[in-house]
Amino acid sequence: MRFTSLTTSHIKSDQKAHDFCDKQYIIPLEQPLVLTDLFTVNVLIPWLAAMAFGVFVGATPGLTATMAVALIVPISFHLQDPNAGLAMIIGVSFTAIFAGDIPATYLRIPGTPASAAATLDGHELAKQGKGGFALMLDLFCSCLGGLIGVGLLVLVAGPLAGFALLFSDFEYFWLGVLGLSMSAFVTQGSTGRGLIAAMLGVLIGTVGMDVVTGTPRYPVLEVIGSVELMRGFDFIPIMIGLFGIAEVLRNIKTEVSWSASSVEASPTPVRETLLAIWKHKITLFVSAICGTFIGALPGAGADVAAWGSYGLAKKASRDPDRFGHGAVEGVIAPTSANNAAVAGAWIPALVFGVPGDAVTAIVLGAMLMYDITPGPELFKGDMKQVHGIFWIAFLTQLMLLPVGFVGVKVFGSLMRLPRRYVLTAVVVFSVVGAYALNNSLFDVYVMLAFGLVGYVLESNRIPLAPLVLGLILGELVERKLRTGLISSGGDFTPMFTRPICIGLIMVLVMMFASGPLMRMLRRSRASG
Amino acid sequence: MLWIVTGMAASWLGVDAAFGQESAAASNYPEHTVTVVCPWSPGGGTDRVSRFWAGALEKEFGQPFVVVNRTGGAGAVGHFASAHAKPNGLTIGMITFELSTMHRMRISRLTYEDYECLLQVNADPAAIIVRNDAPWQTLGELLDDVRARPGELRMSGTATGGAWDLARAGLLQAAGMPIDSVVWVPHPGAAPSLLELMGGHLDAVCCSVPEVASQLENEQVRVLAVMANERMENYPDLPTAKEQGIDWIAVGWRGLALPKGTPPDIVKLLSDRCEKIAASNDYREFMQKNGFGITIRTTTDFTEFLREQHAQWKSVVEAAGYDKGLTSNNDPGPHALPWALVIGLIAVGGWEFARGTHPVAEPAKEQGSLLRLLLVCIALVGYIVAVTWLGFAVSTFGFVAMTTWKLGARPWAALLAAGVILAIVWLLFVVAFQVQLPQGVLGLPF
Repeated sequence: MRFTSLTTSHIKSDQKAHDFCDKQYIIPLEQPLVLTDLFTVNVLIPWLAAMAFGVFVGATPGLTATMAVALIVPISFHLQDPNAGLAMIIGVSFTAIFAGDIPATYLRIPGTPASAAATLDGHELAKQGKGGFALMLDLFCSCLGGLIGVGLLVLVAGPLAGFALLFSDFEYFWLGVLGLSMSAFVTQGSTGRGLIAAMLGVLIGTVGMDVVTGTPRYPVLEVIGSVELMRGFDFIPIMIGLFGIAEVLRNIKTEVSWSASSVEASPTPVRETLLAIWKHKITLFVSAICGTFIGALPGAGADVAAWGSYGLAKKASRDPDRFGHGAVEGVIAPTSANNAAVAGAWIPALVFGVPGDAVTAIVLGAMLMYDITPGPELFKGDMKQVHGIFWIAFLTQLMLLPVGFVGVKVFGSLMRLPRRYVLTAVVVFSVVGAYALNNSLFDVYVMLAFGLVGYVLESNRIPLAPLVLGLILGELVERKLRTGLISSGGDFTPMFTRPICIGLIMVLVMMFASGPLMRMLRRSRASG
Repeated sequence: MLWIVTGMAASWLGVDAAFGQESAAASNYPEHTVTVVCPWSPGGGTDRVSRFWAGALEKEFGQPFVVVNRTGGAGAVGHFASAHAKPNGLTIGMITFELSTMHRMRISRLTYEDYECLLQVNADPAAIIVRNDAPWQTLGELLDDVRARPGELRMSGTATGGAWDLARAGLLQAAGMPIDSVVWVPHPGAAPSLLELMGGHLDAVCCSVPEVASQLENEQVRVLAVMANERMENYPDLPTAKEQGIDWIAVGWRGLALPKGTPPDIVKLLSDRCEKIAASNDYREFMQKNGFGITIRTTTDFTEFLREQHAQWKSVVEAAGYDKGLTSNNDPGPHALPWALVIGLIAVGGWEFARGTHPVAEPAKEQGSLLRLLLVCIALVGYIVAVTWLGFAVSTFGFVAMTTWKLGARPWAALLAAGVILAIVWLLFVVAFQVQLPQGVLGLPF
């Protein structure tokens, strides 16, 4: 059963391996993978096509990166070259996460959940007529964040995965609490209103099945007889409603001119972008590292990574008040982190053969079909397959630049259509997007209802970002606390005594105490 | 007025057509797209199997068979959807193990009796898996250790009351041990449980063998016992529980079924074709690639098997106390968090209210017309209602054309916009993603 190199895998004695290699459409990677293998027409064309497809899917709310990958996998099996298949899959996953930022910036509708943070500063910049600049920032930072993520994947996959394994329920609980506390930092204005939004988010997330026992949480809903409500709300229809439909409603109420274009013709300045990135290189770097690590945790994904680094960047900023009003760091941080997280999710997948999220779960299934068995053995010997995957992931980041640029341009010119068309199209695509997820009209009504909720909340100056964070993290926090307690036999002490827990608690305390402490220091220095 | 009359006429025609379809015999089955409802999420094992069957049936009948994932409620939502679909053969349900237990645990009232069972397509036995460096070499050693220190060892593999939890509960019961002598830690599935196992947070995992195939190959884990009647064809080295003196069988299974009341000729036609596919080489290859075991039971055998399963799990569920609820003593329970949140919301909301809003700079009151907002909301709801009745294509065309026209577009531009948007939706969602958009009573393609 040894699996030191691919050639030996051929002569594995067991019948399963034999059958694997007999099939004509399962082609083991026989030769060591060199770069020239990737630069062939048979690989490059499906690769680029898949990435272009990824832009479409990512930019369409309701179509997720998971769906795109699930769709690409069966197609990739028809290709003769397994590299082409892997390149398509990896290409789609990274591009879709980037492309989610495009509608988030222009229309305030996140294309994927990982892009929800781009509705803050990215959209503000677009409103100031700098949408092109924001998206160029997104593009370059996605590429750089992805590169850092892949770099970490190459360099420290083993140790990092080992560290992630140490996380058990209580550690995830504190991580979730840390993330929820971020909502206090991502909000502008009153902290109280931010808290209300966060709690509302968690409360909305509790509708449906209980996360631990899987039984209906509110039996009242059973009496009403709504199977759909018993299932609970899906995140994506809520997100489309809160941001997209609410924005349409606001436009409808205040708009006077329907023939004007929705976005100013905004240039996509490369030089200015690069300068801005250079100025905030530390933000980018820290966000990407933080994103990779969060992505490597099996319980958290690109969405958590984006919010986490946004909060971190705001906390670290000298002038946090600019956040939410078009701060450049507010664009850079989440977009670098979410692409890095996609790379991070590969770490547990490759090291343990256990997927970190839904996308890598599908990819793992595909890799098994290519006769690549993920796991520690993959990192022994000459690591041919690993190198292949690394090169593909690496080059995907570079290819993201041209593909993404075209995507930004095409989307930008669509945005210059008169507003009456754009708003109507947004409604139609929101409806289809909400419907497509579960093929259920119920989700469409949920989306409409949350459109109204989002509109009402924002009119009362209750921010939506903490609500989204609550929706994402509420489940994690509750589930991990309760499973942790079941696991420990009802004992709370490990929650405070496990070493990583102590570390996380200290970070939490520091986060809350740093503000007042700094103020005290400054005051004492001023008086003394 | 004219519109209303034509609309009513059209819907009458649609209703007529629908009745006409139902009375048609199996001779022209299927008249149009058939939906295969998968109760689990895209990318998972059941989804992959569903997609294989949809593809194979499509080739067989020459009409599109589309997989629709209706997830949630531990499988209850998807099973409900397929059991309660129109019994005309145009909806096929993928049914799984959970159907045998969900009514016992009061997740749903569904049983196998709500279906016309077509064909069992797969069965994978449960297995007990430990880390490679674990001290136990046989199932007996593990169980002895559990007997020596009850309530200390921790296992997982799925949620409480899930297939693999019940499998290990039945194993303990068969070994004459109390079910709570092992702590079952609920995790969402086999993959996260395996990570916890490797991180040392769990002592053993119960799940099917294909789910640990790569860890087994990498020698990260060992299988102590497979809960099958005999050794698995793909894994002849793995011992069964029966060999080790514990007579207990637990399999996770998947099958195809039609809603109860489907005309017998359609059931017959589909089951014949399904048997043909199940016997094909393609199917064998597909299942072997995925590591899934093949167990085929045809209509009557499958129904009989489900009757047995129905009875088998009753005692396990009752012994585990899951018929009374799935909460453990150490679990704060499903209502702790919502109550805490309600109290928190009242507290913070009250504080914000008491503090008032004046200290914060009031933003300029948003200008605009509330009436227009109200009208648009009504239009939106009307659009969705129309989608249900007129189908997606007609109502979207109408909605886009009407809205853009009302917002000042010229009539030809409004029609063009409607056409373009419809074309994009069709290409991206219907063609590329095979989403089945509502057809309405008219039965238009989408």
